Amino acid sequence: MSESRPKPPRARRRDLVVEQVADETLVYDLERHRAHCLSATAAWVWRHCDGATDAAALAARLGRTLGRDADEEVVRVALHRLARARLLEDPLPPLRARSLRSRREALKRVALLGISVLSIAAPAAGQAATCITRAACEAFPNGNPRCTGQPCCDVAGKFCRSQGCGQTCCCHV
Amino acid sequence: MRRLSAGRGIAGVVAGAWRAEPSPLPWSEEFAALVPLLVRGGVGALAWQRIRRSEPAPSSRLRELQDAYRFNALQAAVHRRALRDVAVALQAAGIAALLGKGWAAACLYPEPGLRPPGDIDLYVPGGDVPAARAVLEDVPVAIDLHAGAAELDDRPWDDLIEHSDGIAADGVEIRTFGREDHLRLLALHMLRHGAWRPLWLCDVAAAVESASDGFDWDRVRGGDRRRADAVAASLKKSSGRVSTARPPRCARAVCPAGSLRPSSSSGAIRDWSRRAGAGPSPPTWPGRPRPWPLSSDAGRTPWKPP
Repeated sequence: MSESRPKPPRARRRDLVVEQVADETLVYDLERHRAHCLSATAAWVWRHCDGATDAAALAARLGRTLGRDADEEVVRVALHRLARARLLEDPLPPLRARSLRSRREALKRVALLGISVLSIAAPAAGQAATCITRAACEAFPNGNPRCTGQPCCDVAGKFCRSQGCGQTCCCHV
Repeated sequence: MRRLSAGRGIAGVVAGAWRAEPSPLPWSEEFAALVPLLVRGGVGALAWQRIRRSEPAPSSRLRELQDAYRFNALQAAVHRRALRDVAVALQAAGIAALLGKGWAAACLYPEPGLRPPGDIDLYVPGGDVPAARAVLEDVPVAIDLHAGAAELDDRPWDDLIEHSDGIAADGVEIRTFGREDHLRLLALHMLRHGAWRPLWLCDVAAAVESASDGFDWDRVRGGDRRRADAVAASLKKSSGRVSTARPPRCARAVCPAGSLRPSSSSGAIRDWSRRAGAGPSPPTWPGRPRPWPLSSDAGRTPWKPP
């Protein structure tokens, strides 16, 4: 029986805020409140995921754009990184099991092409805003998007959060 | 080598960092120790702005500063989008609101990534607060809704509106305090909270340095006398801490020679902080002294305009 061909990858567009800063593409996921930084090459792959072009065709186009060899394996690794960051619409089939050596070779080629998808850590909330009082923090129901870690004014070293609290947000470390 | 105090160290790192072409700052282990304070103080990206120009070798501490810059840029984009919705909703409800501090202050910097936009500070007339709250309920970002502009309430609301400026947020105009009123607001807000965040000093310095021709310094120093003193003291504090060159227009108009002796500057800060009662006290800096020694610790009573 022949193996069914995987669907060509489609970039996710909804609930994302995309900002170009110098040669980096920054993406904020409004649904999961995660931020990602795509290198120029990773962003190129992501932008060309139109749901019609498969990995092999993407690799050929990428190679032409960069003027360097870009094989399908390299594009697959890039797609998996994008998928892990939830920047593709559909899940991808797992990467084929390969020898450690060939996998290492592929990762080396990925690095040489500068394909990276980094998660950006949110800075300590102290930088975000003026502090919030404990009472104001506890007035928000747990899970309210406003409990984003603003520093609590009257509780030193604690921040208004949802995690580790009861029914309402609370000042927590 | 003499060990830097945290306050001096931070001041040294962020001095002039809000400018379009700040001087490069060589990376050192001493700065690495300051990174958590820089990030918590809201000036991680400003530090990155200077340090990246010296092309340092990558390190995890540097990555924290770079991530602060990236995160600010994204937050600014998220806020720009939210502000578009806020402006449209408020206009539809017929509510005249002014934007201040946070995102509006970030507009004083050459790039959106340099300053954390924080929450969205919206000022509406006291009577419009319930209506504004209802309109803004579904906006998914933190909005700090102010009933009037307490720091500027020696001026009628209509006057603040008349002097307001427009800034574009994703193609929609939103009103912000006029440049002079905004500088005054930033300066008084900083003192009200005891000037504990290095970012506020940079905001004031950036606002002063962005004052171009036509900037009305008389409007900055006008109004209630005590506030004028407090504004002058705030500007002096900022120029002494993070800005090596005091802007000449400021020196002439707001801080004329001899009008503010060092002692009277501290006196004005104490006076304002005491009368303002200060809002909530700042979070403490775990295990370290506050970066800025305060002339007066912020009190804990609810803030009332003096």
